[in-house]
Amino acid sequence: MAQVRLPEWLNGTKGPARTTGLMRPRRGFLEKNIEGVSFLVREMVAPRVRSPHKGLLQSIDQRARVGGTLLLVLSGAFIEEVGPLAGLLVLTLVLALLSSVSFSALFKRVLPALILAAVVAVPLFFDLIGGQASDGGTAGVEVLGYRVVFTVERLGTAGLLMTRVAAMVTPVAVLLLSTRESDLFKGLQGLPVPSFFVTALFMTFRYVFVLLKVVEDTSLSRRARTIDPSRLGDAQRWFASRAGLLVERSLRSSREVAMAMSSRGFTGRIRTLKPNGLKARDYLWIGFVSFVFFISIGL
Amino acid sequence: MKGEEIYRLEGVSFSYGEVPALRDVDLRIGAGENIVVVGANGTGKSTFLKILDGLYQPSEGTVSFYGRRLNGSADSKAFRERVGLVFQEPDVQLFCPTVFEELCFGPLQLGLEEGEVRARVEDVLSMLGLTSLRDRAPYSLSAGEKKKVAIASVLTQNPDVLLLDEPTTGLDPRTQVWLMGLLYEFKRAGKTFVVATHDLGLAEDVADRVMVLDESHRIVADGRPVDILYDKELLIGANLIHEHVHRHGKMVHAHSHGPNALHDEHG
Ligand SMILES: Nc1ncnc2c1ncn2[C@@H]1O[C@H](COP(=O)(O)OP(=O)(O)O)[C@@H](O)[C@H]1O
Ligand SMILES: [Mg+2]
Repeated sequence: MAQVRLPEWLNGTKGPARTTGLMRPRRGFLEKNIEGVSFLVREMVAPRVRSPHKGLLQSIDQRARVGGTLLLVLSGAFIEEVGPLAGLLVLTLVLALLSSVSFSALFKRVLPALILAAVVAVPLFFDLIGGQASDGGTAGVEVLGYRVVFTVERLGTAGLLMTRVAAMVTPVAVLLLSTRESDLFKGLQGLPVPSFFVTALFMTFRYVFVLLKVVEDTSLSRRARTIDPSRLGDAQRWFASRAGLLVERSLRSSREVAMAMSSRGFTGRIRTLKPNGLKARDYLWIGFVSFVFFISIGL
Repeated sequence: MKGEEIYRLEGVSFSYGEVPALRDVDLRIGAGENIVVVGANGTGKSTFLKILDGLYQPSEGTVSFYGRRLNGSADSKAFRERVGLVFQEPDVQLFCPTVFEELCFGPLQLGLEEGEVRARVEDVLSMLGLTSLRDRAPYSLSAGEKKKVAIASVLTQNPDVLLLDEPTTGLDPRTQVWLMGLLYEFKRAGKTFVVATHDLGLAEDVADRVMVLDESHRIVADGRPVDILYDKELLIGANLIHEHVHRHGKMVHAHSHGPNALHDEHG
């Protein structure tokens, strides 16, 4: 075999850098967003890998914990007024406190949903039907050529929307922060949900994570070889040209995952270990949450 | 029974669409054989193992297992109970929330009774020194730990035939030695295994039969380790070792290199 000969330009080194200031590969707009979004999604939906601290929720059976949380979320969907919704939110925060869930971690998970809700709420204030405010509001302001109208009614609608989102997302965030991933799926499997859905959900989870990892790695590896935060158009084209490759890669790995499952005897229905029975405190918890749920139907 | 025929492959070829991956494979594998398949990257080792595990149907030719054609019915319980494949990429193979459940998965799917599953899993955890990882999520482990868990998750199925795809790749030297020891124990236990690797040292240590896949995707040699691992021409042809020009002081000479290089040519 021939020996490798380095071309002249590859010979030697550049020596120590004499420029002042550290040149950090800065992130362009798109990279920042891709990495940011995928990080946020992961932070938002990822349950704990290790055991979380001890606390109230942690002492309740996974099935009761998951089922109870879903009831709290449903309660949020039924309540029609801001006051009781806020009450539900406070109740959830108390639960978080008793389960030693840190408020800052909780806030980080709920914030993206609130931002999303705010984005949805903003158009409520824009008067798109023309100069006339349909509900007769007079406190109009010109923004970007549109009339923005604040009325008690519109503020109320927006407030209800935001409170409802907060009240429905927070219990889920508390659950995720107080539950290991393994317990989460065990909890779901214990509920009267067809095991197919739980399996599908679990696989989706795994795929989403694999996919996010691929996207992040791609973005990072691009950044590692770029000094100039490239113009948005370039970055867009670059990611678009890789999209096919990403899909191909994730498809290939999902086919491999499926093969790995059938290699170990999976034929469509997952068999799992039988869970333990429920204890008194589990029933107490379910009773309490059901009470909250039935009240909220009445509200 | 030792020596009884397990696999018979006749005229087996496989391609991914237009891309050929394996060509004209004819061979038999007997019970208790310890086979190492060596080949450079992309020669078709992984494809070969997936065919043996009934995951791919050959594009041409037939595969028989204990005298029965392997086709769509490779999912039969009897087959899955007897054959286990450790994938090249542990990330693909490990999909359960915890290490413990990962190890339970195979035997549970095969319908083993729960008490027995738990007992087996505990045994394998302690045998491989994984007890402290039992509640961890497999994807959060280090590469070496993942590999161990992947191997463990197949061992709990207690397969007669163990297929391992590049088990030493990415392992630190100590874990590589550990793996050799494990394979050596399987050998003593009378298990059949087929290991795909480009690590010739592994072939020398644990194989009693070595096959060479070359870049034509054919098995170009199949025989005793001593006959194959010292056949310099063959190994260079299969791109498993290479000749290298060396300079010792003022003396320049050529000799082969690789994990199993022949150093009798100095001078
Ligand atoms: N899923 C796939 N789709 C298309 N081509 C593939 C796929 N998997 C493997 N190949 C190709 O088939 C050939 C053999 O691959 P493989 O069996 O993985 O080889 P090895 O394990 O020896 O590295 C290679 O050329 C590879 O590029
Ligand atoms: Mg391979």
